[in-house]
Amino acid sequence: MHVLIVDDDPMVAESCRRILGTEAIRVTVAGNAAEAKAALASDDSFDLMLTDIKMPKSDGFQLVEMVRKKHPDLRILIMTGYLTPETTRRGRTIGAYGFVEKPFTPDELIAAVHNARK
Amino acid sequence: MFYSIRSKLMISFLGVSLLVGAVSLIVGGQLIYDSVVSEVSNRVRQDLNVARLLYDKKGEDIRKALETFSMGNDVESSLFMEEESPIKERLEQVADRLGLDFAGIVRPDRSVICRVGSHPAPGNTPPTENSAVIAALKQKKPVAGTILLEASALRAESPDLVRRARMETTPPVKSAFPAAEGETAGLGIAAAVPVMHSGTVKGVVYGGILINRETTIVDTIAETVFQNEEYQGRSVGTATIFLKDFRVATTVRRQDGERAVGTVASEEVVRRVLEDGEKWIDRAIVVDDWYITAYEPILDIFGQRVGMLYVGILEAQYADVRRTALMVFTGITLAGVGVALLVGWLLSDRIVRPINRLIQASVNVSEGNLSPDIGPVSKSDFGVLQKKFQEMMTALQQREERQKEESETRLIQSQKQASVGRLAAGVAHEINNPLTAVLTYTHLTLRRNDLPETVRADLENVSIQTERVRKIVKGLLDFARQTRPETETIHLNELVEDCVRLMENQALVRGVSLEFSGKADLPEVTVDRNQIQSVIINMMINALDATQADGSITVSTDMSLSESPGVEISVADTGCGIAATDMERLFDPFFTTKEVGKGTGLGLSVSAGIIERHGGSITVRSTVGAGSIFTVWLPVQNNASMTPAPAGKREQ
Ligand SMILES: Nc1ncnc2c1ncn2[C@@H]1O[C@H](COP(=O)(O)OP(=O)(O)OP(=O)(O)O)[C@@H](O)[C@H]1O
Ligand SMILES: [Mg+2]
Repeated sequence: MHVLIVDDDPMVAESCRRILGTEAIRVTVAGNAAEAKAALASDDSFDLMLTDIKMPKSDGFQLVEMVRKKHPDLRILIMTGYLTPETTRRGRTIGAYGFVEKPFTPDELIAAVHNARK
Repeated sequence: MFYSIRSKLMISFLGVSLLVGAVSLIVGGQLIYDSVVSEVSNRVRQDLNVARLLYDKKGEDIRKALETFSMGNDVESSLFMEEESPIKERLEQVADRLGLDFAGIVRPDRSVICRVGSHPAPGNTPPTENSAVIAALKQKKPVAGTILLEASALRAESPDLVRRARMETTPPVKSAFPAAEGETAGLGIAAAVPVMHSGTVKGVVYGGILINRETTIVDTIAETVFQNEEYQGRSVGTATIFLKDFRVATTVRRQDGERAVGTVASEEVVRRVLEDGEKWIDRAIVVDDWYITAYEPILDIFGQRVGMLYVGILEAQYADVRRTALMVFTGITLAGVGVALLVGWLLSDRIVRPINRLIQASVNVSEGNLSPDIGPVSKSDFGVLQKKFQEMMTALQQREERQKEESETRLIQSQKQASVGRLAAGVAHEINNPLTAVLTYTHLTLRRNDLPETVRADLENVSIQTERVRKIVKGLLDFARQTRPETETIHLNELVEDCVRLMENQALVRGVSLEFSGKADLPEVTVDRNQIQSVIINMMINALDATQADGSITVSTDMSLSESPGVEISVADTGCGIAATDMERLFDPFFTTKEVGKGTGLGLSVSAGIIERHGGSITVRSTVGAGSIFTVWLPVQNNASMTPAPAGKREQ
């Protein structure tokens, strides 16, 4: 399994890498939307993308929309520290698979990722 | 203006006084007038009787004088003499004394023996037509009374009498008594005494007065009866003798001061008196003026109605009495009206002034002045209204103040909430990232098997405390979420029952009994299920936290008892209760009495926001040491404001 983590906070990205690493899941980290797009373009082995919403420059929603168009099969989980009903509604309409609320414990993240896997 | 109390009052006062005045004017005036008229009528009736006596006495006087005269021897002897004897001289003396207009001695064949006055020689004189003579011859005894003298009879007596009897009628009047052109009959008072000799009539002595233009009789009547009373230059009483309907002797004067002989009586009087032979006592116009009159027929010696006797009293003086009375009454009425107007004005002023002040006061109130001046409070029942008005004002003032306070606190509350919300959202975002890292590393490290026990224990503490931070931040975020509720229509009892089930275990652990009693057939409510659930759960956790073991918590639902349709959820506990000083801060964010780590103090403030957005309300009743009841009221229908979609789209 190959997961793309998109978060501008390196500590969060690193946390994810470490947690998923315990499950032997391959993780690629992107610090912003541009990097994520580049990674997706160069590698088609991704099963899942986990993305933050509040990021500098282009925000998470735009990234999700774009990725859904180019890679319709890729499942996307939205990671956010402020999960409001609006966020949920908007995420669902642009095709996000699910939501992960920060902060999370390792078990919670692992459960969410496994759940998103087919 | 005409509908104002004042004008109504004034008009009624005016109306009443005018009505009373007018009635007393009419009734009083009429009463006075009636009694005067009836009294005067009585007087006139008596006067007429007196006049009648005087009139009749005249004939009797003549008869007596003639009887005395006829007893002289020379009278009988004169009957047998051809030529005029000294008897004529004596007759003339008698006639002079009595004021007779005609007198004479005739034979039984009515041929004249002698006559007073100038006339042709006895031989050439026609026999007399004097009806007194005729009556005396027939009855063979003395007669006296009224006689009618045709023009021919008058001429036979004396040509002078024809001239005196004649009356000019200007303007010519239509008389019931036709007279030949240029001639007028005469009315006389006469007596005739037969001269008897051994049972047979040898002759008749007669004499009389022509009443036409005669003044002594009527003047005597007027003098005797009315004593020459005068009113405004006119004599009050009048007397008249009529020949048929024709005034032949009268004291009534025409405008030029002449006696009004030659005029006629009114048709009505003629009909009543002459034709029906009755008395007439009533008002009547005599010549020019109104009189209160009395008429009665005059019968001649044959019992024929030949004329009328009249007395009358000038009505003017009594009309003046009435006029004066009416004027006095009018004056009284006007004075009454004036007094009524004055009283009405003063009274209406007393009534209207406080009313106007009240009106002005209400105008002031509507302009925002809640302590208007309504003037002194009246002692009458109007004062009740004034007091009520004052009470109303005080109540209004108090309510206004309360509302101001309430809206101020609400404003502060929502400002507080908004600023806390913004802060929370910002902080949460920033804190959650490092928190993720802390949680991750702690947990991952704890998974290791080679940790010394003390390190593991410390790490576990880190983990627990981090969970605490996570909870606090989550609470902050819940508080900050100012989102509109996502509503669905649900059965409230089901929702509450879910909450109770969630809490059952905790209650059991704490040794507190938890009971639910749902009211059957509650109407459905349209709410955000999750939000309402969090409100109920918070209330139940609060109740649990406040209640010792062996206490109890009762959750119940009911129909709302307030005026608008709604439902209520109550959570009642037998816990410690809430101190009065805490009451007002209960819904403040971060207000908590719980020990560190147990409560964030956001539960009720978040709940209040949620319920407010549902259009409902939360109320608290608590007794320290006995327990508290938290009640949430939710509207049943009136939550359309919670569906944000425009009306057009709601149909889908
Ligand atoms: N049923 C109750 N009996 C007594 N006190 C109560 C009750 N409900 C609430 N309180 C008081 O109101 C305070 C505020 O309650 P609130 O629910 O807002 O916060 P909390 O329960 O302290 O914390 P949180 O709900 O955020 O965990 C409580 O700390 C408590 O002192
Ligand atoms: Mg609470």
